[in-house]
Amino acid sequence: MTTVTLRRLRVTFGSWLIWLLGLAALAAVYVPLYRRYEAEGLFRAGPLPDGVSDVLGLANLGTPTGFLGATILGPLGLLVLVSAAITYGAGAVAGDEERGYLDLTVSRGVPRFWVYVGKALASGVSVVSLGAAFTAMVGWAVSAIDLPIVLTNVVATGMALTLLAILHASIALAVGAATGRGGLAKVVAGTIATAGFVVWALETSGARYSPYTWLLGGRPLETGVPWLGVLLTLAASLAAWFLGLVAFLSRDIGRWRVDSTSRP
Amino acid sequence: MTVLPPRGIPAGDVLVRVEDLTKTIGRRPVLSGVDLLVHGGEVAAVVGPHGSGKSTLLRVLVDLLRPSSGSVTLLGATSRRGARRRRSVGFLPAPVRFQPVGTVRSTLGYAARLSGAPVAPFRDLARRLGLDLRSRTAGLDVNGTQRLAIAVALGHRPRVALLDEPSTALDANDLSVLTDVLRELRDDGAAIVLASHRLDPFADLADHVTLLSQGTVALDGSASAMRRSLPTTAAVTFAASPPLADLATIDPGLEVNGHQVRLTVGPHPGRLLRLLAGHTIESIEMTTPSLSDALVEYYGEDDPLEGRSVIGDGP
Repeated sequence: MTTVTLRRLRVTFGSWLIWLLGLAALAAVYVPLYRRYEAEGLFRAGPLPDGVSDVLGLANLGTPTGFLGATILGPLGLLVLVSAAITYGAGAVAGDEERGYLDLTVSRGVPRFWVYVGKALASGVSVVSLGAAFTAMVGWAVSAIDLPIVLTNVVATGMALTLLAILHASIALAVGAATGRGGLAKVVAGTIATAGFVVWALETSGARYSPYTWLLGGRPLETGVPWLGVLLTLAASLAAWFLGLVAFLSRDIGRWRVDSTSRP
Repeated sequence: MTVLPPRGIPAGDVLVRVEDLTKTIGRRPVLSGVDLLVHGGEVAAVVGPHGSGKSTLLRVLVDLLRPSSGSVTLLGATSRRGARRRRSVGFLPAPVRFQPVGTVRSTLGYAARLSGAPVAPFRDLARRLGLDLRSRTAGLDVNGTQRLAIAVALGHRPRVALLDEPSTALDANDLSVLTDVLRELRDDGAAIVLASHRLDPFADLADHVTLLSQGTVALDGSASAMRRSLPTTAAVTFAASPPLADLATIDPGLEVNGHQVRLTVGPHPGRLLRLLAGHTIESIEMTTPSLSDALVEYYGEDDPLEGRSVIGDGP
């Protein structure tokens, strides 16, 4: 398993650096923006009607927690982290399978269980390290410009975003492991991520089932770690991971390789 | 030069056993009722046109594909339960691809770690195949990739080698090295399965030939028996009129061109030679096709076997 995990981490290191740079750029740009907007008085003349601001979560844009929660520690951070997570999850099994890289690993005596666990672990390490680095960068920027936000709440929010990323990585991993199709895994996980976010943002009747509500609904930037949400999201991630494992253990690998050349 | 040291595997053990294997993909049977038995110290060639099921058979053997029915045993364990035993298996897929990171050296190191084997024999084989260990994997051409794949598949001196289209993209020198390595492995007691569109250039190495067509075994037998059964064609030029009536008893379809007669004499030309006694012969030329050419002629490159006769001791 260690060999598979380390190999996967090495292969994805380049993309990890690019995602990290993207997150660093976000933190470097958006955290200082609050002071600039505050100085320019932009928060006093909101360009959007109240109803629209509510839907987009911009109602508290004039406060530090509201600004960060509506931007970098909200949709923007989520977009990057969840996108990275879906890419890692879909690529771990299905991506390698589609490119033919899985042949060597499975044929060389690594049990499928450990192939799956090893690749899932690598995806988890990539996503968690991105989330941790992002949280640290935002926390550092918040301290540097002396925003009145409790740092442990920044950590709590970073953890919430990272857990959402982990959940969608698990979904992408599971769909990829069950089907061997990386594109399908990205579409399914991306659709679920979008639906969950919209349901939470619009506060529809199904919002209570959205992991975004579990983790971000209680405003962790102001209230700290949403422990129940953490547990629910971890359980959902584990369930997706397990379903992917069961499917991966019982199906053909690289079936398209013979399917495309075999004759009826 | 022998790089691979002996490993003391008792020759004669059944290392690959496939019984009544059926594999269906979608609703389409890709393999149907396939049997294969390969002992240690034996080379089995699985030949057939594209789409005949050769790659599917190998992929079932290494548990990439699961059998629909029948049984597959590798090194004494079913493919599904014998994951750890597959560390002693070398598999060359077709087409082969490597992750475009690192060097030849690091790729060999990865293969060695997966196999739980020392990396030195992998590197030795790679050098023997003319690979530069410092080359970037992403920069290898098709030939280099195939040579690396062979080093990865055979570097740990597997007890079972399963090679799919091993001669792909190799030049004559590479083929010579590969043939030598396979011979050494066989002599060490390994079971080798070569799946190929054509039998050559491994015709001399094969102990057993299985011809697949449309997922079924169309022909199966020992390579030596097949070679013995290959028909010889004779072109005889007589000084006078040829004894056509006598010659037609050997081959009713003989061709006559003046004093020259061309006829198929079967695997045993002795009868023709006895018949020629007493006649004045200007020249006689006898040709026997290679087993590889005979098989290709038999299955017609890409065409399925329909209405063709059977060679050798096959069904």
